[in-house]
Amino acid sequence: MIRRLLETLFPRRDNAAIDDELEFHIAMRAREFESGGLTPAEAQREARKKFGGQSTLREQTREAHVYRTVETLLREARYSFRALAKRPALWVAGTLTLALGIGANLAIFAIVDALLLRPLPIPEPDRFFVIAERRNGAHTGGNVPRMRAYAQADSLESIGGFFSERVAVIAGDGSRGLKTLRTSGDVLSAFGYKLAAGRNFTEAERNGDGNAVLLGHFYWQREFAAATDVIGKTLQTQNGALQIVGILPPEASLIEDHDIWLPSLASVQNGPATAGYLQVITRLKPGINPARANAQLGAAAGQFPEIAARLTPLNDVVASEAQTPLLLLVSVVVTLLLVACANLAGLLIARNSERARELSIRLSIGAGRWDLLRLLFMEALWIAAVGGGLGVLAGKWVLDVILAYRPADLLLASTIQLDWRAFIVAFLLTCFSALFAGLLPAWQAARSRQRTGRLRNTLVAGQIAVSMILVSTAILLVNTLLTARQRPFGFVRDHVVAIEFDMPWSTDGDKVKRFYDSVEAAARELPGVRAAGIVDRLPLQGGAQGYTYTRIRGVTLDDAIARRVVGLRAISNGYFSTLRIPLLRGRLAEPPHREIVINETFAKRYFGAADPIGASISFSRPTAEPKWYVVVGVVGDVARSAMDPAFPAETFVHHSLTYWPQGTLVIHGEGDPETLLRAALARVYQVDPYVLTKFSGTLDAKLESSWSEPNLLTSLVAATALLAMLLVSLGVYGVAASAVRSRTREFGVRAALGATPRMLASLSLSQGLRLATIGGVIGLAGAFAVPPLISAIIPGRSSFQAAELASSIAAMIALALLASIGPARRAARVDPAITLRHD
Amino acid sequence: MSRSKNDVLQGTLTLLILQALSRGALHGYGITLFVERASGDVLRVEEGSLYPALHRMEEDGLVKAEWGMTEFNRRARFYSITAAGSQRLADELESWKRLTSGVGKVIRFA
Repeated sequence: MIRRLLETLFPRRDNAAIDDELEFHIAMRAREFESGGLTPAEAQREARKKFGGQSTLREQTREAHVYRTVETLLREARYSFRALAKRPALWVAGTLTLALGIGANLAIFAIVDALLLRPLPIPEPDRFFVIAERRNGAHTGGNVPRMRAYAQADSLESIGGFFSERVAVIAGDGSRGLKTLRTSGDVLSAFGYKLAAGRNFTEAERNGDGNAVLLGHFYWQREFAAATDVIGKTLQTQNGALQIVGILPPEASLIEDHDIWLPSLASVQNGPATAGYLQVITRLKPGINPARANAQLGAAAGQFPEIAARLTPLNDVVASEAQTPLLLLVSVVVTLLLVACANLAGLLIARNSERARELSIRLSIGAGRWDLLRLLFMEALWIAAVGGGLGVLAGKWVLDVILAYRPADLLLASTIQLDWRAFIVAFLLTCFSALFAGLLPAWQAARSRQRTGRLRNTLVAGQIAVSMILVSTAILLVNTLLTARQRPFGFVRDHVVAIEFDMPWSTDGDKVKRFYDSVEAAARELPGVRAAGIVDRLPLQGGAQGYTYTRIRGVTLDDAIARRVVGLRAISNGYFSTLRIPLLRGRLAEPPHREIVINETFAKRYFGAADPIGASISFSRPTAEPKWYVVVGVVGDVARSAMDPAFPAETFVHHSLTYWPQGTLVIHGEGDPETLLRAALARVYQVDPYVLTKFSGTLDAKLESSWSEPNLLTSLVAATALLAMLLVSLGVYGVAASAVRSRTREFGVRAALGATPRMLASLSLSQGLRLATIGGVIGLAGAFAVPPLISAIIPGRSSFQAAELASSIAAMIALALLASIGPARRAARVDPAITLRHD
Repeated sequence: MSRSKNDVLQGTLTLLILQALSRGALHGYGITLFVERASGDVLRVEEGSLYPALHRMEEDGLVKAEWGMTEFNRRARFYSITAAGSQRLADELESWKRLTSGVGKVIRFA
């Protein structure tokens, strides 16, 4: 059937088949002449002559197909367009439905394509790898001594490492932070970029000597108006003058945009081989098998205790973060498209059944079944084509919305766009929609024109089932998000402002300590302030610093427990009172001493019922001499991340005992937080006019960003579910309305026999109810595929709650009833007298 | 060959083909043989018009075609009449009868 259809739609009668047929005829003629007395050769010639030019005949025979088909197709296309133009409701509903379905799919495809499918926007991406390092199996950043060890592997062409920070550029009356890529080694060659102008860093500069800087393309365009004579000029920063030696190409800004590239200071580069702050990347020599490079890297990593290193494609790095949410989104939008197609199919079935009279006339005057099929399919094709076109526009719009709310640290974000690959996908989706939504109704109408009701009911029940999965997923996500937001976090956030500092990692430790002390003291003096403190990283912002080996003096810990991760926060004592984290036992630490405060979870894990106060604990590596801290107090647990309900084991030491130049000043004060913030910022700039801040605002506003990713995901799924529900209600309405139309006479008879309007209405309602129940039950079964997907995104959610499923079913049933109310009212008002006259 | 045989009238070719096929499936050559023999060699079908006509009729759904084997064990394309073709044949026969009776009346009248 499909073959026949394709042949009808796309005629490709090849010459060979026609030749075969004519050849046979000539052979038979020749045989005839031969029996008439001619020699075989003469007979052949004579037979051919009678045919005239065989190629001409072949062309004529062929044209009989092509012209007929093209002509017919054009005529049918025109005809169906005119027929559709008289049905604006069908046009609008059909094209908009498809546009939404296709648009949503396009937007998500563009993201998946940029992040997971497309080759990286760097030269010869096959040779480019991230060196992923692990310590005892857990991810860890790299450092320069280890990078230099890896550089010995002869399969690597170049290697480099980088981290991001902000460097203050002094311009006029103040300073501005530039997003800076701090490089070690030869990052430029490892990426494989060619400079737009100037030169790469020299060997000495790469190691931290000198003051060379490379400008990012967009920064150069913005700040220097793309002037070509900037090379050799200087940039004034808080660390002195930098000399511009080169300009990066635009593609260097694609993965992540940086204003400038600056080699790390020698003091940072020569830090300990245990640090983990560097993202190490490498480019293999041409033709090198990654397995060989991996073996060499593994050997090099072997000289460092507990470290393993492995080449990882950048796409995999991005995928490890983005894959699961994207998979969820892809499933959601594909589901939406299916619902949209089912809806369009429903509309077309209704349309075809209204045309039953026209179609039967066409059949009786000699139209073939295939002619009818083609004619009906043509309408679906029109709607799909226009819907697909609108879908591209919708996709652009949806993509813009998603990108506006994307997580700030999304890599490759600037490469997300609707390009020719997306257009191909749009084209394929359009073809798919036309086939799915058009073929079924057309086939059925051309075939029998019977039982359209059953096909439509099946479609609507299918829609309900699929939407039910979407709706239950949306309810689960919303519920999880709401629960996550309402659970206890262990601290109080109202009337707290936060100022997050962004000092370079090369800032001198004493300077950092003095700065923290000064701003904390200055903040305490502000009017209305109750408490102020310093913390390296706020709650709900993920892990801060941490340890992977715990010792208690005089106690032998089980190795597995000793190696469990323990969080470390560098704080000042004011932090606890500012966030109102309760001190449960003991006292807070007194700075010059090596004293430590632990949280409840830590106390339970390592001390059980015993009293931890006075115990000595150490986090030095197993091979090193332990440096002991004395436990002086236990504080309440605080949540580490927005969605993870578990409380981590954490310890707190005074910031002067560790080094973290990117800390946050938190202040709890009475009155208007904005006023407090302005006053606090003024005091901060009195302490250091050039200090950069990453964030300044209320703690509420800061923590809100912890939810941006789950918020985005939940909003997208919920919006899709709402759309699906809208489509389903249209589908149910359509079925109910046409059922009432076609059963008018029956209702009339019932009314004449004494059925009350209420009984008639419930007859009509019961159909919607039945569809919703059948679809809902099927959807319920399908919904069980969802939780594993969710649990990969949201820790701790592995199943639906009964109430979530119940409310999804209730929602679908309510929706079906609501959509059937209009038709039911019409059924109730059927007048038996009118019915007798009804055609 | 002599030109004494009449080429089939334009417009009657469809009728003749359908009539030929109404008795069973035939290949193109078989149709020409049938027309020639049934007409007592009065009519003959020009190959140059037979095949375009057959393919057009196939497009119109009047006939359908299938590859098959002949009695001489050669591959040939066999045409058979469809329901729409039978309907058309009846119509064409009807109008042919009207035409010939009309023409006959005119001739008798003259």
